[in-house]
Amino acid sequence: MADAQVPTVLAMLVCDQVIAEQGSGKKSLIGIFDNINSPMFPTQTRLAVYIKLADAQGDYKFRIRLVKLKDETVVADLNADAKIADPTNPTELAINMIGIILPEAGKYEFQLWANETYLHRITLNAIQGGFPWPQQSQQSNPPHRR
Amino acid sequence: MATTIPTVQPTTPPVAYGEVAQAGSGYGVLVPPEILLPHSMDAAGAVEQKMVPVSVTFGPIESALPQSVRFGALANPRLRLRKAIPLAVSTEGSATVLTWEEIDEFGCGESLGAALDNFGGALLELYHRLHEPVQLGPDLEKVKQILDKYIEAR
Repeated sequence: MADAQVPTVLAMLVCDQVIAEQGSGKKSLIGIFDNINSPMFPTQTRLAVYIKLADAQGDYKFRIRLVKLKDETVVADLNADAKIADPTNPTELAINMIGIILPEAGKYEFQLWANETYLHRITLNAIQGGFPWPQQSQQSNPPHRR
Repeated sequence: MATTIPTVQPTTPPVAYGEVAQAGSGYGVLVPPEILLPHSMDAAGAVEQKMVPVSVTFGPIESALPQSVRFGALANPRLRLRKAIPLAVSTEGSATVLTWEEIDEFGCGESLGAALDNFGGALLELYHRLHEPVQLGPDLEKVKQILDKYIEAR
């Protein structure tokens, strides 16, 4: 596993949901966002991470960690094993997560690791309040992303 | 009138699911219309979709700051890493410091991710500087040889 090539990250995005079309395998990314607004914390949310890799060949242990940057604690740790045979075709990772808990407002980071090698990161801002709609309707709305 | 905002309480057990697969395929236009639709594809024409189990642990779990990391995030499409670069991790005050001891190159930042980005930038700068058409001294030539063991042009 240590001999597997170091993949190159072509894209890494956070969105509401990744939908994979059966047959063609094409992915649709629904609701790409950088910020999550919530009236209170901790809050629970649903999100997805999409990653596109090049130069991957061999056996990999992929790890996606959601890290709270304030104290660098790991909020969620996802692991997936994969064997990638053809390095000439890009590889995609599409992970949907339901029930992710963000303990407090602030900056978070999704980190991508392959075989314990750091590959990429993207940051996510969790913001208390800041809704685009009137305050009266906040009570009935889930955490909002933009 | 004061408005009370309710506390959002976790109600759903956290779960995750996902897949690792080859990138999807689009359809060309110079084909008969009947095979443009996914339902008409036979098994051989379908893109391989292999669902993989995703294990997930929700935290807080641990500090994300390890004692060492393997760097694999070269942000230059013309270059690629032959193998991951081993880095030692330390802290100085609130800063995270990464050191590649083999050539004494380092990066720092307010978080591990920021320090990794900083190291990646410094590494690329060093690589380009050492690959300029100039005569290098013996020490820099040695550093260049070490860099070339890890980094290659595409």
